[in-house]
Amino acid sequence: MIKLTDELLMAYVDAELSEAERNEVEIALANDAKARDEVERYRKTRSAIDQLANILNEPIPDGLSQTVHNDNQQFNVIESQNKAKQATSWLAIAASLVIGMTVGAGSMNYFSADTAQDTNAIASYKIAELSKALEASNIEQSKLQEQVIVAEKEAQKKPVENGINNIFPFKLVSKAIDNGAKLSLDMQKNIVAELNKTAPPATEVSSFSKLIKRSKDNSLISNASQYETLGDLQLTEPERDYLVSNKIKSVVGEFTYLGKKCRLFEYQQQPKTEVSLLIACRDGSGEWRFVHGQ
Amino acid sequence: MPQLRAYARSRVPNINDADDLVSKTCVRVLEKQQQYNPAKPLIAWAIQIMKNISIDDYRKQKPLVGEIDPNTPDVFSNPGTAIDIERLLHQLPMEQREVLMLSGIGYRYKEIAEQLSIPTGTVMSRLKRGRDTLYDLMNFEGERS
Repeated sequence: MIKLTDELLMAYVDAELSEAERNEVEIALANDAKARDEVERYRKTRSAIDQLANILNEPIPDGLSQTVHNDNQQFNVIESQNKAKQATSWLAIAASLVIGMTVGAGSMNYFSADTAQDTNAIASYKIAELSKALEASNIEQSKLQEQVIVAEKEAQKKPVENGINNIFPFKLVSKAIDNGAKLSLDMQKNIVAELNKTAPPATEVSSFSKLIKRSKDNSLISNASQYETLGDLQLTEPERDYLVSNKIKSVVGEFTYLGKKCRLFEYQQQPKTEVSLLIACRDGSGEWRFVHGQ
Repeated sequence: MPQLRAYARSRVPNINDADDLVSKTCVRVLEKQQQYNPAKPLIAWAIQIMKNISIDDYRKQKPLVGEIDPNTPDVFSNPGTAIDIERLLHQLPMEQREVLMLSGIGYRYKEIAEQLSIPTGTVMSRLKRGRDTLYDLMNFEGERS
């Protein structure tokens, strides 16, 4: 039985626990009235500190924007790209995007062939624009990251440098998802296409699974369900043998994506080693194609 | 920007001083732009800068917590509500205050740890201590009102 420390109960109330941990805590709570009282106390303080979020909705006071306009200095930022292999570094692009953003910028057309080839991005801005960029970067964070991802893909179309082949930016996608990005329809299509082709590292796959779990109300991702064991899947004998021989431990979920049936499995190379995640998608011919974690 | 304002309010109790801190931070961010590491989100860097400014100012005893002009809006952002969380927050030590503020505006434990460059365990213990005290303060307020 799990030991219900104060910090564990706090983490439980703050939804910081994994599903497995949450379940264990709930089972233990059923028998522990004192711990349940603790949980109540944490819930009360949780609601109290959540009120701090009201600050985020306050309008920026006139005094602050005024100060910001009065300073009105112009700066030039020269973002120099690092080395050849970083020539299309998405990080530099992202920084330039944030710094160069102006209100109502809409599409900056940053992704034209010329700018992507540029080794320097020059952004000029005023303090007012920076504060707007900071504000915008908060609101537009997910859009920004989408643009970053698109930029990376654009970069992939350019000739490779030094024989380095730019692989699909699963890391970027993961980062974007972890930061709460909502991916565009096109990007979601790209992900599935890439998953069917390439082998992303396990960590990237687990972020994709977060996207799926988060997107239950996304009309593109439907019929998501959670399973506990392989038995719940109602597999045929050969399917089960195949899964077991590929060291599949259990199934995490199943969902339909753009009409394709996909499953998320837990995979364990050896007993007592780290469990990683696989996605398998069923293609047009009904074949399951696994993407293996590394 | 709203996140910067919120974090500023955990550093200093007076809303005007907090907004001054924000504009100082914007200036400093621009001055130090060459040092910006694009690997990190801009907001995280800005918050770090803000923290350093407020620590420096406190050390130099600049009037961050100045004389209170009766006409300036104070930190009682929701007058009339039963519990004014910001007021209670400022009765806690700084290290607990900033963790509670970041948590309140939506940062997860791991994100707070990264922002403040402390272990997640430290985040949790500060959060816990802060909330324990907050609970007592809230009950005290409840008894008084």
